[in-house]
Amino acid sequence: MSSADAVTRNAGAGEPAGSGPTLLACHELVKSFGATAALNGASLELAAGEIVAVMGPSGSGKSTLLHCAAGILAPDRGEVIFDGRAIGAESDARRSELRRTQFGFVFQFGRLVPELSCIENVSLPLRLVGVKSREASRRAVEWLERLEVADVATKVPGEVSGGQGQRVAVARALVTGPRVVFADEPTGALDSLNGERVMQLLTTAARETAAALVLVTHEARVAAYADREVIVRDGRTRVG
Amino acid sequence: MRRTLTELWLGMRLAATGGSDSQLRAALTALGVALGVALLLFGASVPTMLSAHNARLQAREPQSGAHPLRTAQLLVDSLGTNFHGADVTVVALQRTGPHPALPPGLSRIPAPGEMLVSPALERLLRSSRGAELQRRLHARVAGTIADAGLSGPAELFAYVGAADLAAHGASAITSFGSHGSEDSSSPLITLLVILMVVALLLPIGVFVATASRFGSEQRNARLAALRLLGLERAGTARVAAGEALFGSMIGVLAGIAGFVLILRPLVPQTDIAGISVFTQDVHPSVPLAILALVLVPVAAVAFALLAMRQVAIEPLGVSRQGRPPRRRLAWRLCTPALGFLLLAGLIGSSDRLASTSGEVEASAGIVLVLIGVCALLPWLVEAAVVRVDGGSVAWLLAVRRLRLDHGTSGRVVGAIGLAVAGAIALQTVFAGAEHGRTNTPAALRGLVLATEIEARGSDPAAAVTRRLGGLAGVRDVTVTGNAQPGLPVAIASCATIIELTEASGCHRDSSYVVSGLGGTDRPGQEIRENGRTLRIPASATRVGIRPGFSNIGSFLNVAPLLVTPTAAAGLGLRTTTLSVALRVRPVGDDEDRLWDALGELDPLAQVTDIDGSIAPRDLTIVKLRRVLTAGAVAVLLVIGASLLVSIVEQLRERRRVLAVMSAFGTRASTLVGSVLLQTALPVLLGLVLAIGLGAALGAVLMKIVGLPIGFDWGSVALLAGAGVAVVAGVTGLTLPILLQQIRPEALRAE
Repeated sequence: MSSADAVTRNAGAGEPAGSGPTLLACHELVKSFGATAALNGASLELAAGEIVAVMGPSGSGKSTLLHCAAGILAPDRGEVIFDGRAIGAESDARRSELRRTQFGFVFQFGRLVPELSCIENVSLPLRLVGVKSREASRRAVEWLERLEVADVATKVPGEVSGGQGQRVAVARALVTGPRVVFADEPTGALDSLNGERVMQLLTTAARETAAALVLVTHEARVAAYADREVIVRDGRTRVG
Repeated sequence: MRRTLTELWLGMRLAATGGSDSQLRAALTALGVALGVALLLFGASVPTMLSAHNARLQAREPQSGAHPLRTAQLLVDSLGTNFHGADVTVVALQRTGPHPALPPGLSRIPAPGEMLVSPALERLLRSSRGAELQRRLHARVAGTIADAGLSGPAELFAYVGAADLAAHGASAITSFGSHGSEDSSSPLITLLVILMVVALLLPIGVFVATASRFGSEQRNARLAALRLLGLERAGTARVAAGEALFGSMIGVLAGIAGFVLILRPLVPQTDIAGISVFTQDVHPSVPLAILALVLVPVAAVAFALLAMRQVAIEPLGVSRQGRPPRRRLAWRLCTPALGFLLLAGLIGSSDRLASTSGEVEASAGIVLVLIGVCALLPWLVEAAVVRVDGGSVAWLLAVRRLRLDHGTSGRVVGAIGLAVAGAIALQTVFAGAEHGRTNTPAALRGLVLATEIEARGSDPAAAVTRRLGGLAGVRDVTVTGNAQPGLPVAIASCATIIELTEASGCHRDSSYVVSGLGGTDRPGQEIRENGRTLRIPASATRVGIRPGFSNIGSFLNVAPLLVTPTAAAGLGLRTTTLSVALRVRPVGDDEDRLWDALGELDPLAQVTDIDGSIAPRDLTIVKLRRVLTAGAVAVLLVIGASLLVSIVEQLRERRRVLAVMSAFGTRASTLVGSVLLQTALPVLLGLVLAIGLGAALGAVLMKIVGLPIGFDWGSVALLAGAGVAVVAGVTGLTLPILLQQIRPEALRAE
């Protein structure tokens, strides 16, 4: 079987579920850390506005696949194409610019900047692309309201609950209007109730803004929010 | 008790075997403690060193009083010269009987033309420049002086044998050794030494504090794991104390070894503040040594425990306080205020510095003022960062970070501030001392006096005037002759008489009675001195000393009878010795050429350099200033090391946040800028505070010793610049680590 055997619930293997053209494609990615092979020919395709769940057991390589797809890691072999542009071999500065302007990120535990208030955390990506402070704050408040955490806007992350923090992190990921959001175990540190709420808000917001979403998880109930699933095992993707 | 010991022991074992982070933390604590212990042991040796130095000086002091076993059979004349900036002490000896008193360190009195020298002087004489000095001393080296006769191994000292000391007014002595007061150092020197020790030691304490916090995140995680296994909250503190104790104990041993094996052997090779010390004189005072050996490790443990105050170690993990409590200003202001109050009590009574209570008061005052920098800085930084807003992302990140936690960098920056404040206070004292020196009355400025120069030839005064007047750097020469010792007669040329006195005219056989110099003699009066009778010529004219020349007149022994050489011959007198007053403004080697010429005229001449024109008058100040520079460099290096540890630790703690920020595209320059600003802002505030408190401290110290207050702003700028340079240098050194941490690849550690 080809390593590019990602499957979807609604479409054939290797093809995006959405009706639009492929926005992000990873082909035959190989990535090793020292003697440990993390990816061994993994592939992934994503259409605009599509939600894909990348599933697999711990250590299977799903986070590495996300990092390569997002231009955080450069693969040893294979290629990553975003919007027709091969980003795997691009300079760090170009990839950083891409992450700033086209991508959004949600991590496990939120990973908010602890010294900034929630509103400053959300407005930070806007400030990084040159939006004025006042305008960035206004847009940040909008997103905090949309994600039902406007009441913690002036608090620092250490003063809010895990669920609130993760919703703030979702707001931070979406505030710049990215074309792809990468979420790495976004509910991993939350109880099921909070996890459900965060997933509802994240997927709803992604769909409303037409952002594609790559959702790395090992939980079936989280994966259920996706349009299709890709299983990663031993560094390879296969039909789920 | 048993449980406490078990927990302490567990902490020590974890420090030794708990991985590279624990070992690095133990090594850094050990380094800080070792530096502190070694320096404190050295500091504890200073009193014994000074005391031994003074005892050695007193042991060779000539005594002319009655002696139960011996009559005076030795003439002694203390001389001195300056060779390329180094003081050379020369003592001329002439035996006048078969059993003269022997100075310590000598087995015999040198014969005329011989000299017995210190080993350091012997080395100097053997060096390439030695011949020049040898010519000046007019004697050949016949042996060396034993250690017992020297104040220190680097002392340049010589006993020269002489044949005609009586003519030079030398004292007849019966024995050597006095029992004067033990401490002869001036209040200024005492204050300077206290200030330097404090300014050097406090940053070491900060280094210990910083080092003990290194890797605390990993340690706290381990303590949380122990809590899960049933360790009580108080037990975590004991385990942490055990960890700190392990590093401290190694540090104590390393500090003792460093003192014994490195510092102590280095002492004889250094010449500090005009004092060199033999190794055998370097031993710490026992109470101070015990205090140092206990205080430093206890402080290290205390710092480690204090660092745990802001975290709650629970079985399920470590949590930090969301926002630190607001800092209070009142007690922070009290620290320097109390210090200034203590110092103010010494104003007008600097003599109290000679007593232990005065020293303690001054030390406590200085310590409190300098600690005030560390106490006030966190409040100042907090007060500043809550007021600033807006700006770039780098600025926002830096300011917010400082709002949340500026304790760590604040402490290290506080140490920089403390060192700079101490150094500024010292520079102020030095500037004041220098100002005091240059404040010599105009009439005495640039004045060098040489007396008891043996008169040779038919017109000795003219020969001396020609020899000295032809030297570069000599602007004016005034020579008077002295008749037989003890007779109140000065012999001078008409030109000199007209220069010094208000005489309207002068003939080759004129004589004058100089008024206004304390004498009551009249023309025609008979003077009896030392068994001789002299009648003042009836033709002598009464004259006064010209305004502005009274000092020179008295230095040149112009009193009360002033005669021309012809008039002196008429009185049956001849010039035996000459006194010379020189106005000098030497440049470069002019000083040594002048010393050479004076040595050539008469090696036994007494030279007095009124305001340090040809030899720095207060070499102690000059040397202390050099020590300060070396000390400031050492302190800034130690602080730089603290800052390095602190920033690296901070980066390690923040590696996840940095990686996440980098993942969503934050530019490296933004993150580097935020780290730089985060250090630079407290540094800037710290320097402002340090300059203010340092200058105020210096001013108070000057007031205590009664010197004019003056600031050397050039030095202040230099010191502040050095502080900034340390920060910039350290930040530069941490850049590779920072750039590594901000790579989004670091997310893999998630």
